[in-house]
Amino acid sequence: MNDLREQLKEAVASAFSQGRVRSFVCLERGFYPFATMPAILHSGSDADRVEIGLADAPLLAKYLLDMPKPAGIVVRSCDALGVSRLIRDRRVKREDLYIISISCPGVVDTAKIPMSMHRITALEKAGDALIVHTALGPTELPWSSVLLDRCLACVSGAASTDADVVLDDGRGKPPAPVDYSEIDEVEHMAPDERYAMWEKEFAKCIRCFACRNACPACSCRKCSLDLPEPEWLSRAVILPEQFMFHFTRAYHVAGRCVGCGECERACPVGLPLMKLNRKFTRDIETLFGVDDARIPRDVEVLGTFLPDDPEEFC
Amino acid sequence: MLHISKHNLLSLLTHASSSWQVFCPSKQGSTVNFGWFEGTVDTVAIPVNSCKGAFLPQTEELFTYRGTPETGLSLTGGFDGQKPVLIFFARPCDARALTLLDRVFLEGEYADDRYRSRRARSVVVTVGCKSPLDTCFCTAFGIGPDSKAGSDVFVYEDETSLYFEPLTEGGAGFVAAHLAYLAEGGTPVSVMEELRRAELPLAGRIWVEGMAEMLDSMFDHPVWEKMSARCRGCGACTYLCPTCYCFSVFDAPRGTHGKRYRSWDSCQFSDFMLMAGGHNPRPTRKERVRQRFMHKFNYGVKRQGDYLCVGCGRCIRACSVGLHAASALFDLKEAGR
Repeated sequence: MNDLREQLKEAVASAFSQGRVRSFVCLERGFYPFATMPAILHSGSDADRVEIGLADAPLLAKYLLDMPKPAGIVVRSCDALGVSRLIRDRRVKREDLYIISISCPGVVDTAKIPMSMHRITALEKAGDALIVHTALGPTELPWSSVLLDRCLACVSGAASTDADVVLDDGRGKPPAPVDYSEIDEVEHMAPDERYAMWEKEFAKCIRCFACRNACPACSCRKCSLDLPEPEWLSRAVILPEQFMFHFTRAYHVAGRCVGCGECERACPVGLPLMKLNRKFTRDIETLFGVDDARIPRDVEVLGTFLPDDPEEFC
Repeated sequence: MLHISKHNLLSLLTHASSSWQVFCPSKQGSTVNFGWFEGTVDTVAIPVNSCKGAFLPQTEELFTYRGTPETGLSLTGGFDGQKPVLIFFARPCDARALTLLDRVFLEGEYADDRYRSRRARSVVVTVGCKSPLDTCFCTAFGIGPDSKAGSDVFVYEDETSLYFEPLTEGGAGFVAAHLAYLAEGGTPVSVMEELRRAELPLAGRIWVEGMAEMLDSMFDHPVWEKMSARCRGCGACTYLCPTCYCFSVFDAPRGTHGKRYRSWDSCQFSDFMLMAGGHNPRPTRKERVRQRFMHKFNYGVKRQGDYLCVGCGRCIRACSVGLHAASALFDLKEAGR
């Protein structure tokens, strides 16, 4: 891991020294031990701050929108799909980007470690385990039990964005088999039961827009839901408006969702937003015969008309 | 001290809900949230949201209007006296935060009728925090796991029972009304000791002494640019904060009738300060992030006499990119030294 970090620091520094970038988005040490947070660098001398992100790593693609170009970014496969999304949505140009791709063994969700973060002295991945070191000695936890939810549906290897530099220490996570069983569960609920479930979930929403703001597919210059006129969505946090918001969001990203789950990670009240997103993804795969609809492609399934498209409503 | 077995707590709350509007934590899907009592209560977890919504609902209808030039205008609705509010299981930080909101909504020239009406008859029952979270740092603000400021009843919790210590007349009234559920006897000495010993390691990293004065000269400091660079511009921190109180008022017109609402608003939203002519005095995230923390740690001290932060750590749990009161206090201290 350290080797990969050294290679990455070097690659970021040389991107600046070769004049390839004016800014660079990466991860740096967070406020909590072992957590990481986004950092936007403006000079090669900042490259020492770069971290790989063993734990709590937010996705970075969306920061590209506001960065001085040419802009550099470090991506793991989930983030690479986000970058690809922004390119295909014509929000950034590939030639304005400098992409360093790193192999990723998965990212630890520190909330899943059942002990105080303040007592941990080191985190270490060893084979299929996370070793948590504390003053009282090490504890071993199964690696898959401490990963972020998004890592359990890892797209590893499927990343379609071509990188300028690829750093691979051979310890990357193999792709996870796609598992739609939680979508099946929702589909098999009786309509009333399903409605009641969503009603209960949406009632918790505080309309903070964390999901929208974290999403690489939600990249409109001005979100229509923020317009004072016409007021598509009122400020009233009442149930009909909650449904209006969540369905607008989900339909807007349908066909463009890269499955990174950053919306769900960002949601402070734990709404299962990926259940909506993944339902659309699966429908697209089934209806249009697409393999892994999370991966952005040149011919967008819902952005293209073909004479033999299914037209179930006719 | 009067106490109740935890098994009987639901019966007490069910009884209480006939004469009180009970606001309590309960499991909602994957999280525990404060909300109106619906038959379940969670006494273990610290809820993701604060209890401010009991007194300042996220959305409330002010009135319905109806009329044409011919008929004239009529207003209906408005606020009628509801059952008094019972907060059942605030934490010491929540209770203290309510006293800070009181200064905003009850004192000075612009007392708020609705807030006053809800707050005047309310009873805040606070439980001591035996297991503070990794994100708790209330002791940095002079609060602690056994602080009683803002509470009407303080509760000590051991393995099997809850011990009630009334602190105010309102609290005594609440306890008196539920004597049938309470047994006399015992003092939870070991719990009291445990509360005194509870550790908040995060607070050791936070420094607030003199922060307000230091910020006086930091309005143009480059640290705001650095801090705000990672902000995603959502309003999670402000909406979950127990001391953030901004709201806006708006109409939902439907032809010849409509409703006027007020709803929470967030200084982190791009349109928060947007003027009718299109001018925005806080055009980028730098100005908005600066506003949030200047309000908490500088303007609030000048206007209300105290930091508008109680170290509850809700913003820490809410923020997906690690920009919160604790990181801000840490970064500002580094920048200002």
